[in-house]
This record gives sequence, structure tokens and C-alpha cells, in this order.
Amino acid sequence: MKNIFYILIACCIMCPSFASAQFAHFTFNGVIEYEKSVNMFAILKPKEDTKNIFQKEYYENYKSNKPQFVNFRSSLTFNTDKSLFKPNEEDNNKNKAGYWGGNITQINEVFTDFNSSRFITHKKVFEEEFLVKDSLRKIDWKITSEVRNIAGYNCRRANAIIMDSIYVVAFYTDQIPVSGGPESFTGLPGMILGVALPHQHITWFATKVSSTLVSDKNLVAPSKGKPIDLKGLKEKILSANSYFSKSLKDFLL
Amino acid sequence: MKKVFLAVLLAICFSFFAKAQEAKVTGLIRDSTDNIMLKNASISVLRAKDSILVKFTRANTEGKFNIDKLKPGNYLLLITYPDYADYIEKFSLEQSQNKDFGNFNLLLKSRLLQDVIFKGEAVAIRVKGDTTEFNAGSFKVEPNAKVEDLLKQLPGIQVDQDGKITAQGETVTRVLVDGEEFFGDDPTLVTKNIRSDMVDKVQLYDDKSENAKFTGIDDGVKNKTINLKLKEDKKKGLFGKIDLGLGNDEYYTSQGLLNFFNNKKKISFYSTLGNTNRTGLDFRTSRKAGLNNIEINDDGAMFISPNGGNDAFSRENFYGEGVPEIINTGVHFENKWKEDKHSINLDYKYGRLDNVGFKDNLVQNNLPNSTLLNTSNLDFDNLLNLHRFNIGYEIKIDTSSNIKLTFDNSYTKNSNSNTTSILGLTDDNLRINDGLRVFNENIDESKFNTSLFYGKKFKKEGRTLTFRFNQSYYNSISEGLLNSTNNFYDISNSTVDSVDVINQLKDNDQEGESYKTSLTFTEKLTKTLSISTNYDFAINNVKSKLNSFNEDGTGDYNVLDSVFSNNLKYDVTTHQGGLSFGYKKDKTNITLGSKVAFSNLQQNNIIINDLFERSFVNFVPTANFQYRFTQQKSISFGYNGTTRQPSVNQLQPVLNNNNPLYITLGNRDLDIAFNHRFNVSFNSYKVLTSRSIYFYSSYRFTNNDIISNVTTNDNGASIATFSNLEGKSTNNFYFWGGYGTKIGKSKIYWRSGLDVNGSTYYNISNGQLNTNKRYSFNPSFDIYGSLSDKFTLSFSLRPGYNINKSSLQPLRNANGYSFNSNGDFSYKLMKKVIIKLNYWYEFQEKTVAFNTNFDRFRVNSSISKSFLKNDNIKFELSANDLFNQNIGFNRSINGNYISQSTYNTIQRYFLGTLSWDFSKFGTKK
Repeated sequence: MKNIFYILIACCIMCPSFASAQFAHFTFNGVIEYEKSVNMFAILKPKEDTKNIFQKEYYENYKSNKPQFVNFRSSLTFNTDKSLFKPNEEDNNKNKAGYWGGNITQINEVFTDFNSSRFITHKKVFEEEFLVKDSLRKIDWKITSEVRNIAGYNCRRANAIIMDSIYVVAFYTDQIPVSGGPESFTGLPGMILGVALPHQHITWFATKVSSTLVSDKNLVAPSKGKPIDLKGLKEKILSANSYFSKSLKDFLL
Repeated sequence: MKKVFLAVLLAICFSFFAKAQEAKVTGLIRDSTDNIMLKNASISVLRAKDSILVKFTRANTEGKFNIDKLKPGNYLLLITYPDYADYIEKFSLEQSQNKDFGNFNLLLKSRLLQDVIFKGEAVAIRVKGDTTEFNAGSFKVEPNAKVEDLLKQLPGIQVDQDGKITAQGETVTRVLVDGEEFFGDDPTLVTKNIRSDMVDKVQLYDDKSENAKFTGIDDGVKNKTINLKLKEDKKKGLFGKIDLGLGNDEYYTSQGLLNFFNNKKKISFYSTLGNTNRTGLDFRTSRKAGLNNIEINDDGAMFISPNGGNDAFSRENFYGEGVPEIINTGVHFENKWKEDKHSINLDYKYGRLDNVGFKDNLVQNNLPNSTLLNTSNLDFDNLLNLHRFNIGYEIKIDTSSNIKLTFDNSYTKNSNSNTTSILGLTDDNLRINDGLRVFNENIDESKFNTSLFYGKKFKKEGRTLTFRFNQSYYNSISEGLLNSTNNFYDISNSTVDSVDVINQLKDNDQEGESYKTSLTFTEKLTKTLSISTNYDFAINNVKSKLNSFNEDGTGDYNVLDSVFSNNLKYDVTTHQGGLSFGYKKDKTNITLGSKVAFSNLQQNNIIINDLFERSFVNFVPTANFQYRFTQQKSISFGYNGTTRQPSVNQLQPVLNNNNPLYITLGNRDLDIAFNHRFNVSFNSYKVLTSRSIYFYSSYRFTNNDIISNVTTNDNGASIATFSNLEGKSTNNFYFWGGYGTKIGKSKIYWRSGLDVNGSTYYNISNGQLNTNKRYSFNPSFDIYGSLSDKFTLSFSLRPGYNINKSSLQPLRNANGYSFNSNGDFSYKLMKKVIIKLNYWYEFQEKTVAFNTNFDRFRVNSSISKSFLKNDNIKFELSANDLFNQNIGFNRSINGNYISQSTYNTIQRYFLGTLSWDFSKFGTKK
């Protein structure tokens, strides 16, 4: 029975063209499941001129004993007004990167309000819990002609630079007319189903999109944590131990 | 003038634009053939020059759209609709313009199957299963060529103008770099391309479709995938370090390291030589030489241990007493091959420690009715030579199982020469004994150990099997000459009442071998519950032969003294089984378990044919509970029970007269003791504010404890044995806790803590039970960090109060204050010049037992300057114990003995040290 169910889903995903000869099917609300994938080998690889002998040992040891990619699941519940991005806590507990891995776990629960262009994020920075409220990040997306299929949806690629230096590749679909996405990636003419930070060796890709009714009950903004805005958070992290200034961007994403 | 004009013009333009009404575009989108309005079509306005998204919207139910608030300029209009071809149009807007595009007619996409013909040439191509592998080195490209240029060269691969890659007639859907998807950089945003000379191999294979991966059902759809395997950093070269220091009073120190490496092969030669207490390579240097082994567990924690055991001069051989001359040298080789699946380590170490010195002891022996004071002056001359050789070999059979083999062999030659003069006084200062003892001994010892480890992780999560086998063998042969004369006095008239003379040759031959196997199996019963079980079997056989010979009158030692001779054979067999349960859910972690061991000890005194057998049953229960509030905050409780079995020395009924004033004798009736230990610990750390709160506390008590039982006669001679403590238990309490945080936004941290220690233990002195109570309170305060980039410091204060009470001599207690402080300061005087100062201060208040205050203040200081670009050459002038205040001194309390010792140690010296770090690297193609 279960198998038949899967085959049906597979058919639906594989053959979107059946359902959309002329009148395409659009999804206005539902739940998207994402998987974040981190290339630990690339992150842990010491720079060639490093003087840190332990890091080299650690890297060699990690490479021969651990998998190359660490995965984290998450879900994005959305309708045309709001969305709520929630990480899977179980995966966070399972995967710890250690000293040189920096912060790779998913620390954000992101509530986005598309009408007011604002977000509320419950952010865990080590033991400290913040409630970050600010307006949506303005990203200058560069639209390209490259397309690919993600979870049965045809997506178009857009590139951008955020936070002065982070190169972002995003794939959005015009079949979901909601300008949302995983974590704090938003602002494209359709839902973002894939994000890559190629130089950070991190990707998020949707694994499943279910079209379901979403009421406001399912879209409750987080309320726990110390209220702060992005500027305040940046100052707070910078004033901490100097070690963290390096991984600062991990916490601000 | 021109500039001003331009500025004015620009200002006018800006104000004009700001006020200008923004432009607007409208239109309608429909299907070209069926004339159906395409509701929800996506309309995006991009900036023409760089395709940056400016505005976007969706078509309404009538297919109409409207984008307003656009600034004048050149734009691209992008219209998309699922399964329709994209529509792109260039347009420009002027101020306040209302541009109506009218109707857009979109076309359904149609696919054209293209016949692709490619000409393949037979080049070095390897086919590995489904994967075709090209060797990147065999294709010629220009230096700094991009990956696309390399791909173009490969047979069967075409790259078109847009960068689209076709392989064997099919479009390549994914390009991976070292297994990770390669997205390609947008040259207008970033550039960080992979050069083709960085590529080692190009692999081409069919990957399952994402759907197939997701559903687990192979849908037959294959994605052509290219994986670029980058070259590993293959390097060869050498590096090393040499330092040499010379000082006054013949003080010197030196260190040398030379390390050659070629990819994974590495060979190191190293040596240290000196008389400034440096016993081996410093930590960083030994790490560089590859002498330490690093292991990383599943949580990412790192463990560092020396490869093949410790250096020749670990603490077991040198306690800081004396001024030794030390040589420590060795060779290390390591290699890895077959994709690091095989690795080998070889080490040879040689060490020599030559230590000449003295040690004066003052011991107060609290007897039930009196107190004896024993003074001893020891002159020693010890020489130790050690050779050690070991091999470690590891094979990773596959990702789930591995084998480790080690082999270790060492040979030690020791010659010790000790001369001790002693004096015993009553508390009225009356002499009860004096004497002189000379003991010269040569010991030859060899050891041989092997171990085998096999570990297997099964497919089912949590199911593991490990097997270990250890073998060890040792042989120690010693020959010593004991010459001792002790005079015992009659206190009433201060005359010698008896004389004890020993002139004996002692031949001691010990041989031991042991074998131990152990098997451990773990299994996960449910998601939260796991079980671990083990079985160990061990055999330990020891032969010990001690012959004491008296002189026959002609200078030959051949008259056997049977009282102080023995020939013993021990056989110990142990079976141990264990079972433990683990529960882990969310933030809770519980383990409960116990081990049971049955051991059988057989001792045969061969000379008198006295067979003695004992059997013991040992229990080792454990219980642990941990709750993790957050990653950096947790509390845990634990209980451990351990059976303490008497040691062979405590059991063997054999007299040893090496020190005629303190003869030891075992007690074969000793029973096992049982030890209970409870502990609780708490830890909380806030990373952002560096605030930490922590404490650890434990309580331990031992039932039926094995305690020392000493009988001292009126002449001050003692016989020491062991007894079980009945009806009472020894106990110990310990607390350690503190709080620390950062001061404001500075880089200075402070920490304050408290140590409390309390214990009650017992010993028997001349048949009477002595209760010893000992307490200590030590608050502490530390401050550390950096005041600026130039100045770093650490500073600590530790006042304390100690209480020592002995029930047999309640008046002779040893209560008093103590105070310790140390500091470490470093200041960057100018570029490449650093000045450092460290100090240690110790103070102990006088007590009834020790009638003087003790204090010691040591200061070390140095100034160093480094040269060359990488600071590779450094010259340092240093002073050790600048004010010449160091004295070898130690006070301790053990049972009813309170002792104080003074010994020679290194004092003030000045040293000039020159060190040079060198390296030469080359990249191997």
C-alpha cells in the first residue's frame, strides 16, 4: 500500500507536465521540506600555510573516519502572507562539528511576514537565545537563464552577494508565487527551493513540497529569547571572545 | 571652474530625478494558440546592464499585470510560466512614462531531440564500474586554464559557448568537485575558479535521479555527472629546529630535530641534551616530529598520547630532586599507503639520566606514648640507561572494521649508589639509635609487550564488537651490596646497648608474564536503550627469587641467609564478566551496570615448600546520571563501587631488610576492602560573556580498608605490616567550585574558586589505632588575559588553612596557614623583542610539628629577540631563579609520620640561548 503511495508521489513529481498542459498548477500554501548539506571535508581542510599541526591531524582523521557531508532537515510552512522556517532539532543534536568545524547546526527559527517585509527569528548563539526582529534583508538578485528541476518544480537560478562577501546561488520556482525561502533567503519572484553558498560549502535543497492548507495557527512567530535587532546582535557577537569574530557570519545568516 | 559647473549640473539632475514621477509598465499575458489568459504568470523587471532583479509581480485572473514605481532607465522584461518558453524583451523607460506592452503571446515549450555525434579517440581512459575516469595530467592545457578548457580536451566531452557540457551524447546535469556540487562562479560577482592544473582526475558517471534517491525506487533516469577530483597536496621537504643554550656554572641545554617527509612518509631524528631539568622535546616540537598520537572520538573530542609510550624520563624516574644530566634521543618513522588504509609507526628511543645529589629527611613518628624523631642524610648517585623500540601497525579493513597491532620492547640498565646516615632521638632529645647504610645496586630490566585489537561496527546502528589481546613479559635481574651498621642506645645512660651489622649481597631475579583477552559486545535495544556486555580472561604468572648472602670471611659472599631469602611463584587467574545498560533520551543520559571478577591467587614459597592459595570475588557496580540543560550546561551524579584486593606485596609473608630500621612483612590473612564513591558535578558556561560556574564534589568511604600496622621498638626500629580496619571506615570528602567571567568589554578575565578537602583515615602504631583527620580550605583568585596587544598577564592568589590531627599525639598537631601566589607577565618591548617574567611564591606557617615558617620565592625572567621575516632565528637571555631563593623542600604527613625533606635542586643560573627553525618545501607533481 505504502509503495503504491510512493509511486503515485513519484509520478506526480516526475511528470509535472501531465498536470499542467496549459493551466499550470500553482501552489500558494503548503509545507516544503529542505535538507541542508555541509561539506565537512572542505570546511575542515586546513589552509596550505597553516601552522596549526593539530588541525591537520584532525582533518586527516576526520576524512578517514567520517562522512563527507553532514545533513540537517528543516521545514518551511507557508502561505501567501507568512512563512515559518523550523529546523529539525534531532539532526542538530546528532551532528556537532567540533572546534574547527565552527557552527554548522541550524540555529534559526525564522518567521517572515511578506506584507510588512519584516522577520522575527529565534536564534540560538551557543547558550544565549535571541529574538531578532528586523526588516527583510535586501538582496540584489541577479537573474540567470540557468534552470533545474528541484523536487518536481522547475527552478531558475539567481546569484547574489550578501553580507558584503558571501556568494549565494538560489533556485526559485515560478510555480509557487510566494517570495520566501529557507532560513532568511527571500526576495525572488517565486519560492526558493534551493540555495547554495558555494564558498562556504553549504547547500539547502527542497526534498519534498506538499500543497496543504495552512492556517495562521500553523504560522506562529517565535516569542522566546532576548529581543534585539541585527545591528545589536552584530555588536554583541563582536564583543565576545575574539575567536568568534571569524565565525560571526555563521550566526548572522 | 569646470568642476563647479559639473557639480551644479549634477545637483540639478538629481533634484530633477527625485521629483520626477516614477514610470510604470502594464501588459497582458495569454497563450498564443488557445487564447487563454495565463493567470499567475511571473513578470520580472531586471536591470539591463547586469540582470539584477528590480521588481516582480504576477498576472491577475485576466492575465493582466502592472508594475509601478520604476525609475527611468534600461530594463529587461522576463515573463515565465510553467512549461512555456521564457519571454524576454529589452525596454527603456523615461520619466513618468506609462508603458503598455499590450499582449504577450507565450509559446508552449517543445523539445527537439538532437542527434549528437561524437568522435572518440582511444586515449588513456579507465572504466571503473559505471565510472569512466580520465587522467587529467595526460591532457595538455595552457597554464591557468579553466576547467572548461580541460574538459574540452577530453574525448567524448563537448563544452558549448554557454558552458553547457555534453558527455557521450548526453547533457551533463551535474558537475562535482571532490564530491560536492560545483555551481560555477558569477564572474560579475565573484571569481574563484578552479584551474585545470589543480585537477587530478575527471570522473564521468551516471547518477541516479533525485527522485530515485528520494523514493528509493530506481526509475531508470540517469543523470550524467562529472566529478573533478582535485590533487592532494603532495609535498616533500624537510624541517627542523636547533637550539643551544650556554650558561654560568656549566649549565647548558640543547635540542635538535630534523624531519624529512615525502608525501605520507616521514622520518624524524631528535635529541635533547642538558642539565637544566629539560627531560625531552618540548610539546610543540615533539608534535611536529610526529611523536604524538592523536585520536578523535565521535563527539569530535581530541585525545593526544605519545606514540609508543613515554620518553625515557617521565616523572616515574625524576621528581626534581638533584641536578641531573639528561640525554634523550630517538628516531621516528611513519608511513601510510593504499589510500591511508595501512599505516605504520616505528620508534626507537634512547635515554640516559645521570643524577648525583643529596636528600635530608626529618621524620616525626607519633607513637602512642612517645614521639621519635628520625633524621636521615642520603647521598645518591644514580645512572639510568634506557633503550626502547616499538612498532604500531593499523589496517582499516573497511569503513566498519579495523585491526591494530603493537609491539613494544624496552631494556633498562640502572645503577644506584646510596649512602644514608641516620640518627634517632626521643622527644627529650636523647639518642636512641644511629647508623650508616651503604647500598649499591645494579638492575637490568627488559620488557616485551604485544597487543592486538580488532573492532567492528555492524550495519545495525549501535551494534559493535571489539576484541583485545595483550601479552606482556618482563625480566628484572639485580645485584646489590648492602652494608649497614646500626647502633642502638640505652636511653638511661646513653651507652651503646646493641649493634646490628649487615653485610650482604642481594641477588634478586624476577620474571613475569601475563596474557589477557577481552571481548566486548554492544547492542542498541531500542532507540533510547542500549546494552553492553564483556568477558575478560587474564593469567598472570610471576617468579621472584631473592637470595641474601653473608660474607664467608674471605671476601666471598656465599653463605645464604635463609631468613631474608625467598623463592616465590605466584599464579593469578581472573575471569571477569560485565553487563551494563545505557539510556539516552533528549537531555538525559543514564548508565547502570556492574562487573564481577573471580580471581584466584596461588603463591608457592618454593624454599620451604609452602603453598598458599586465596580466592577473591570482586564487584564493581557503577551508576551514572547526566542531565544536559543546554550544550554548555549540565549536571551529573555518579556512584562507583570498587573492591580493593590486597596487593601481592601486602600479602607475601616475606621479610625485607633493605632498610634494617624499617623491615616490611606481608600479611597473608588480609581480606578485600570495599570502596564506595559518590560524586556530583555541575558545569555552566556562557560563550558570549565567557561566564562560567562549576563545581565538583565527591564523598568516598572504604569498608574493611587495608591500613598500615607498624610496631616500633624502644630503639626506634620498626616492623611494618598491613591489617584490615574493623568496625570503622576511612573516608574522604572533596569540593571544588568556582565562578569566572570577563571584565566588561576588555580581554581580561577573572575567576574565583574554593577547594575544600577533608579526610579521616587510620593506622595502627604499636598495637594502638591512630585516627588521623586532615582538612584543608583553599580559596583562590585568578586574573588573566591581555591588557593590550603588547601586554599579557596571569596572576593568582591562593591563601589556605590546613588542619592535621592525630589521636595518638593530640598535642603534636600540624595546623597552620599557607599562602601561594604566582604570576606570568609578558610584554612586547618593541618589534620582535619580548620580555617575560614569571614568579612563584609559597608560604607555610610553622606548626607544632614543624617549628619554622617556610617560604620560597622563585623568579624566572627572560628577554628575547627574533630575527628574519618568519622569526625563524631567536636569541634569548634568561635567568632561572633570579634571586637564588630556590630550595628543594617538601613537607608531608602519612599516618603517624610527619616528614620534612630538603634536597639539592637547580638554583640560579643565567643562560643565553640561540634557536633556529628551518624548513624547505617542494611540491611533488
